Amino acid sequence: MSGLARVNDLLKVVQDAGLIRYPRQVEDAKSTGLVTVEGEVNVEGHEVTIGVTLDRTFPLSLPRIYLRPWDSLGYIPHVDTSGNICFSDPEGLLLDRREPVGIVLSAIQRAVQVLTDGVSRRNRKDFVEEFEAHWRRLQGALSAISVLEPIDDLGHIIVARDQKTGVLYVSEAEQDIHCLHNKTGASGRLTIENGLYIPLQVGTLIIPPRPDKPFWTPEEIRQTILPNIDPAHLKNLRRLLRKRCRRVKYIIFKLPRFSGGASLFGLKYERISTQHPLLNEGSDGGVLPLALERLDRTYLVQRGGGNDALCEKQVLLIGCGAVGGHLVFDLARAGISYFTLVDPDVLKPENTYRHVLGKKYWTKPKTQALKQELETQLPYISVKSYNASIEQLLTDKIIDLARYDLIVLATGNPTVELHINELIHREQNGPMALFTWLEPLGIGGHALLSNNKFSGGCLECLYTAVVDNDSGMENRAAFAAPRQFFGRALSGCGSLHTPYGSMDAAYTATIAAKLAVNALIGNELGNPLLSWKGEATKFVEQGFRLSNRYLISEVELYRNRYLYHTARCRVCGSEAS
Amino acid sequence: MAYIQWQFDKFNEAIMLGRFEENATLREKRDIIKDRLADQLPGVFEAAGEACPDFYFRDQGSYEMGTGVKPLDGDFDIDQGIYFEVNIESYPDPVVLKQRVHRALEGHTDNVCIRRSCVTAFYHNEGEPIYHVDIAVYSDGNSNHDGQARIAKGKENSGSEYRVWEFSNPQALTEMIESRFEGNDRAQFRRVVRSLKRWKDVNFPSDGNAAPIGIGITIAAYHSLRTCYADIVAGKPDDLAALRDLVWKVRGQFMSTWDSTEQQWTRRLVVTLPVEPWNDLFEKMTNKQMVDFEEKLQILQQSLDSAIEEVDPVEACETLRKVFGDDFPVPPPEETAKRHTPAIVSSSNSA
Repeated sequence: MSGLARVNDLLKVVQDAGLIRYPRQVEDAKSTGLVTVEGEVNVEGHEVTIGVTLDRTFPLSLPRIYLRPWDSLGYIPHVDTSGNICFSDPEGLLLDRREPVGIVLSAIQRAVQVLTDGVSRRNRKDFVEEFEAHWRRLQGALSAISVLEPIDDLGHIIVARDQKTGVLYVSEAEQDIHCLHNKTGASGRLTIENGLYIPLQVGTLIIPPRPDKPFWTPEEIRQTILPNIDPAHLKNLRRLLRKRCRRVKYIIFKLPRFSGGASLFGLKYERISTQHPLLNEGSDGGVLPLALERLDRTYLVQRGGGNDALCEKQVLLIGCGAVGGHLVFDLARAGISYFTLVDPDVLKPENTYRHVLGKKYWTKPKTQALKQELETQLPYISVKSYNASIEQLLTDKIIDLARYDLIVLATGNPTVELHINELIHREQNGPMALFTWLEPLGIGGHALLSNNKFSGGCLECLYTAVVDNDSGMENRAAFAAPRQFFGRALSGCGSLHTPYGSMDAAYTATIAAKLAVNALIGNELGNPLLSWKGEATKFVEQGFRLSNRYLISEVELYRNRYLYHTARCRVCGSEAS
Repeated sequence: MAYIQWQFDKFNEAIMLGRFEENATLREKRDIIKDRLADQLPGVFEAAGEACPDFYFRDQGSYEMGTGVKPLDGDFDIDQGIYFEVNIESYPDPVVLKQRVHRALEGHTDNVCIRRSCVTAFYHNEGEPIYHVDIAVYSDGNSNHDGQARIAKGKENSGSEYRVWEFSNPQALTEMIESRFEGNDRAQFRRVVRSLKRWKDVNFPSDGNAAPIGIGITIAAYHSLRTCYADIVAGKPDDLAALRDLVWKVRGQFMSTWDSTEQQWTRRLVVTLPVEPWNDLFEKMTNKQMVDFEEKLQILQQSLDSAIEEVDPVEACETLRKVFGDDFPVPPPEETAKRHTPAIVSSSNSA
């Protein structure tokens, strides 16, 4: 594959560059198919041996560079026990695959720099940055799933063992473990033990124990940890451990990272006598490291790019069709956890190619199917579903619109949506509403926000005659000219099918979901009308006519996104009664 | 205020002339001339003892710009460019090529004549002019060392100082106008220009230079039109407001100028062609004609103002009909009564 496929090539490269002295081939190269060369480098006055290995995927992947023996420069960050030097995060790199020599030389330089920083102690803080990874590699480390939110208060926690699976959970309360599994009973019966959660001070610099040596003794733990506990917390800790200290087998620490965020790691004391070994001498028994896999809500949402400010928001989705189906997943992945879904329909086979739910849910109510799919895919989610029309649910007083932070309407039924728009505006502090709909044959889609902080602008504005001879029954935002019948085109029947059906729905949903999130986190204060325009060739070919609005450029449409608001509006305008 | 865009739309449908590609009659008449020239020119050059240079045709004029208006007198004006692939040095007297074109058309119609900027063939039906074709003669840009096309100017009896090759780029002008506005704005630009051109035909004598020329009106709108909408969200245009704004601006561009020949101050509107030869498009109008032009603009302005203020659409349209002529529709009073809106209409929404 590369010009460095042979050992001799690699030897020559490293020799010519003068980066490694006395380069030599490593014996077992042929059997593994790897190309490995070792040699000597000088790191801050220490003569050490490093190796460069090119595997078969080189130069599409980085060379492996190792230090032998791994601790020849002491215990330093970014060198594991097999000697691998982690000199670069493989993500976010572009390798010049046509310059394999350059890749090798650059990799060696970076690796030597990592070693230099380690020996000169410039990167000591990196131990803290990667503390969880170091902790996981310790001999005899136990592992547990943590649903703890890394807060700054010291307090009791529980450590629960699932009797069926043997999985260990660390949590503030049993309830939180069930939330992880959406209360669907994925976890079996739990045996519960007690523990304590202790946040360490910001700026704490702890060097993790060496993975090749016996773990810290209780004495070493006291020496390492106690100086890093805030005095106020320490006082509290002594109080908490005075009584029933034998029950506190587990201690979980929060270690703030220098780069922001925090790591969690834990200890399990195997034997506790009258005094707790975290604080006192004399009762020292065995202690084991407890590595935690963080599955707490905040961590998962943030790592997924979501916003944890959204988690408490209540969203009512009316209409679970092609647009609504995509939309609810977008909102859930953005970090919203509480949904109420309303739709009277079942998923029909003919919906399959445009709906987010697939064949698995044929003939099932869309709301129940979406609930099931959401709960399967995402943790910490709570979904209520109503397989009925919103008109019925409102009449029967089953749904109270005022309970929600946001109501999303994706029904494609302007009559009902205009009615609900009016109901919302009648309330003193009614919820925000987001209306979203598609136009036929892929010519576009829309999302309109209403009742946001700055009032003015609602769905009724679009159905208000702003010039004298308008009827007020035409949607001013429409890209299709009024007074045309689109029955077949809307359902994508036969010859009127476009291959973009699902994409158009998903695209519209994305625009609507972004608008919803922006409004909920306070980035959008007004009530914009956002529209996207698609290709109209198919539409025109079918003999349909476009509106003047379709001729407006996307830039102009965006610039005018707040201007649809009219004082003549019977719901939100100044002429409203 | 009455919203009478529907009437403006109907007015435009009545007065507009499509492009050649959209209008079979014009296209047919244009093609007759093109075929005739292609057929006859080689023989004409041969008779003059010259090799016939290669040539090609280009559509030009208001139809090509999408601003064409049906003539009131029925005398359609078709503009066509013929580009000879010769440099100007080969034909130092530009009138020679115009004579060749004239010769090729002779006998084709009862009247063909060489005018300063073109060769014109007139077509009559029972003594009434039905249309004429203006053929502008060019030296093709690629044949000249500087890559620029030139138009042959001058008549057969002109003095040599009037027989000149003048830089000309009608295509660039068409492209500039085309790219000035987009979408609904472009459509409004064209409607406004057509309305003003019809206003000109209705209100000025058609002979001589009494009337402001169409291209002058087009360029004035090109520079000064601010498009107006009754509903910016739905893209519903308001031509009445756009016209009023434009007329108001154009009136403001009349400037007092010292006329050294007449030894007096005079008010003139100068609108410059935005391409070569950058001339003032109203330069041929006399001072007296300019006074008339300004006065008529003022009357137009007053009519537009009162139409805007008028609540009754019938009244508003009556007012506009006086300045735009009989093609401007006036709705019968019963039509403008509040229309009954059906309670069930179709919707394009789906989700």
